[in-house]
Amino acid sequence: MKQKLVVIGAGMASGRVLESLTELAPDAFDITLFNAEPRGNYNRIMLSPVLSGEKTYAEIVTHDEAWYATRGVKTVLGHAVTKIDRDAKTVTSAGVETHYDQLIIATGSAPFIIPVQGHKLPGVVTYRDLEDTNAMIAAAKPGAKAVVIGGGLLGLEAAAGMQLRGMEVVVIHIMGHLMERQLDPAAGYLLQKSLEARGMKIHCKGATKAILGHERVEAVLLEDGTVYDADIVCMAVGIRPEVRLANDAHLDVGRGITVNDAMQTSDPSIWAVGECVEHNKQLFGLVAPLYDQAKVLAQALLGQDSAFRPVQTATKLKVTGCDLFSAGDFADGPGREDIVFRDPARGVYKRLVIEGDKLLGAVMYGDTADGNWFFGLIKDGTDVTPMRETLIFGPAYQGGAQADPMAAVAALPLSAEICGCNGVCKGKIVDAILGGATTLDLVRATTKASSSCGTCTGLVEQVMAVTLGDSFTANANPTMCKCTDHTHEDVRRLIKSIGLKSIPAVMQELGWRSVGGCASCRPALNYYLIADWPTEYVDDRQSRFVNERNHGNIQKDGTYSVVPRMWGGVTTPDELRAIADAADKYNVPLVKVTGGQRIDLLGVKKQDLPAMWQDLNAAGMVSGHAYAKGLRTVKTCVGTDFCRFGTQDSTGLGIKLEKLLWGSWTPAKVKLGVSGCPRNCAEATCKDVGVVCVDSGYEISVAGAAGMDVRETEFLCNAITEAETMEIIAAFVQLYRENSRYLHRIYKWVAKVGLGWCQEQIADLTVRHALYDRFMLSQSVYQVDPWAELTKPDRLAQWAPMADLSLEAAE
Amino acid sequence: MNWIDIGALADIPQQGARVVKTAQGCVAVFRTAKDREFAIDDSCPHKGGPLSEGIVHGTSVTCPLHAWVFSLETGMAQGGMKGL
Ligand SMILES: Cc1cc2nc3c(=O)[nH]c(=O)nc-3n(C[C@H](O)[C@H](O)[C@H](O)COP(=O)(O)OP(=O)(O)OC[C@H]3O[C@@H](n4cnc5c(N)ncnc54)[C@H](O)[C@@H]3O)c2cc1C
Ligand code: SF4
Repeated sequence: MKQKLVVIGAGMASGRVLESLTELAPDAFDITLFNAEPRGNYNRIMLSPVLSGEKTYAEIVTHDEAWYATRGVKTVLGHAVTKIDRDAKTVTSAGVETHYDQLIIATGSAPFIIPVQGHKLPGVVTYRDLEDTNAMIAAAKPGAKAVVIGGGLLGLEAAAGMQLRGMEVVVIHIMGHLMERQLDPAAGYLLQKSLEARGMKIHCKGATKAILGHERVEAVLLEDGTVYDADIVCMAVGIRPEVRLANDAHLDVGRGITVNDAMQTSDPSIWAVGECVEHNKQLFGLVAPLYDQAKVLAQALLGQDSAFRPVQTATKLKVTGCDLFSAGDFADGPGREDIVFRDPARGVYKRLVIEGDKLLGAVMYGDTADGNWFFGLIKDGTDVTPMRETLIFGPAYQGGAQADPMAAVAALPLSAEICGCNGVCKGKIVDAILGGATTLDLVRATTKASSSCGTCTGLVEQVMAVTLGDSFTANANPTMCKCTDHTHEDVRRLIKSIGLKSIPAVMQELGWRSVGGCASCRPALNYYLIADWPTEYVDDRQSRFVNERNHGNIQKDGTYSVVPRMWGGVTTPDELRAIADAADKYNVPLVKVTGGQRIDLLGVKKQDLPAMWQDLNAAGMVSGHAYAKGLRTVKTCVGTDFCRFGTQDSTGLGIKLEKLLWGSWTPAKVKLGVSGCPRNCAEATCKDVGVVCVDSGYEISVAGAAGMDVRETEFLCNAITEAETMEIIAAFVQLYRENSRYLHRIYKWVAKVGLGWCQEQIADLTVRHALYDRFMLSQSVYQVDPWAELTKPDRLAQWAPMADLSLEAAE
Repeated sequence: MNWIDIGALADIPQQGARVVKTAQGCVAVFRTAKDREFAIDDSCPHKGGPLSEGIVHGTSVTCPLHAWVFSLETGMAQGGMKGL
């Protein structure tokens, strides 16, 4: 025996339920459909084009008599259901009771009417159904006047529709801007301008006081005294769920009829769907979620497991010529961030609201072509971090010409050098690839490119990708930062091969996605440019991390530490006195001996820095660069001068090395140690570069570490004389400076390029001399004491506050 | 509206900041690469780092202590901050 299913309301939601149900199980139910409107299901949202004359009612009917007939749906149209009797399981309509086994309430919403004086006058309509629409159409004689109360989605569609029918239309809106629930003020303003440009009058912040008229509506009076003549008034100020039947039947009702995930009300045989329901405290006013509800309900009725999960919805205004789009949540809030694009000339406004790595909301006016793409990102909760900087330009821009990491490589001339070690240019690699070298190994074998230090591997792969297209799968080398798709190695190489000599040039030519980079790439680029173009590039102070900018390590309380250089760890009574004086004079809270054989004055206030530096300078001391990605210390033992085991003057060599290397900027900090014999009291074998003196000369080892990683140095080479030792070490540091990625300590870099390669470079005398010469060239520019530089009279002012208003304000 | 002269634009380095002391604490006055100016509390809401010492990029600043990124336009912390 078939169950009897009764449906109250033939609206958008119940229409979908019937479709799904009769499709899934054509014979499961004996269905009766009641509707208060004297017609079956039609596409309510298309009433606007009907009002404007762009469509006819016939065109928007979704279910006609024939449809109901073939699906066996009995219809009772034009009569509202007035009562539900849950005990008897009957509904009453026009005095007739109908039995149900299962009941669906799909009564939609009722338009809200402001109960001002005159609201019942003939000529006052709402905007909900065909009757309302037809009333407005009937009033539309050319020159007739319409007042629409409510500048939301519905009100504006009504206003636009009537205007298209030749009426003079005024929109009265209580809020400061139109469609405040979907639009922010900027978009609301543009919408208002464009509606006004078509001759509509928009009155924002207008509160309706009364509707005036005798037999029918004649005018609308506002609180501020304004009066607008009206032949018809359309009130579109909101809707509320139609819950009267459910209330009378004592179902659970909040603002809407309460339903669970299966769309079941508090009575297990009664279900509800559409705008009349409340699910998890949420109401629904757009069709997309209602369609989802309908599908869930159909499945639930058939005993299938199904749960309604609301998804975000997007809004478009169906007013021809007004292009606006709104989706998600675009309210301001803590942790939320805006990306805004405006083109005043074209009247385009776009705003994206981001929280964390997700897009939360989008509002667009004037150009909504990308609306659905943004909506997809919102719905899917896509991580937008990688495309954040170009997000607002839409999908076309993602991977478009400017953002294409390959573009820079593709644009390189064939003569551009890709592999610096082996002098291989792009053309040679392309030839090899076209000649059949389709893997990295084959390219390496035929051209030698990327077969030495390997830093150009990423670039070689990009050349392969450009040449081979899709058939090439690139490596997963991490990019420099989120501003670019290039790796550090690529950027270094491209800086050289394109000849990029400023940060803006790098960002422009290599397609940086951000404006001005970020705190991660800026210091790196500044370093690369310093290292590669010592005489042409000018150090960009503002791209430096605070420690290097202020030449002191910032402490957690915002004070700094000051460490004067003590060459090779050797000091004098005069220097110690000057340090002690400075400590007293500037109330230094902590004086500490460091592991690098010098003295650290901790807790110095920023404004005291210059005076303290001047004092220390006056005593002959210079900055110890204890804060720098550069040469820190050269730790020494006492060597032959005082130790009975010493084989060479380790202290003297340490001092000479420190005097040679100080002031140089390096990818990460560099610490040296020189021990006078293999007993190694200076702990030279856990330094970036260590020298152990032996009878026959000097053993130079590199790539040690004693930090988070602890590593013993690896043997680089032997040297006979002090001079040779110094040249080798300077050349090796220069090799590191030119090839490592920023922030990689020497041991990390050596692990990448291989110790063998380093040894080859240093052993080749031409290469070694050239490295040494380039190092000295750089030193000619950069070996300057920052303390002396920064305390020159013209630079002193910058250390003080720009202004001190604390006294003024206190008065 | 009460105007107080705190100095000239040229007193602030591009992509940098200077501090103005007030009775309520220090205010960091920023100048971007495009010569836009912003003023925010010098103290990072995370652990009080001096934002005036951060690296300025676009219209954002990265706190020197723990690399939190703030929009100079809204004062809001931005995504992509490390840890915490
Ligand atoms: C002019 C207009 C434009 C819109 N534009 C859009 C749009 O662009 N996009 C969008 O997503 N949404 C739009 N909407 C909203 C959308 O139409 C509604 O969300 C949707 O129609 C709600 O569906 P529903 O089935 O819950 O209710 P409805 O479609 O309102 O159907 C409810 C039906 O139940 C009947 N009924 C009520 N009580 C009883 C009773 N006691 N007995 C019998 N029958 C009863 C009513 O007469 C009505 O026919 C628009 C609405 C309007 C009015
Ligand atoms: S390393 Fe050798 S030379 Fe230097 S102090 Fe120790 S024992 Fe003496």
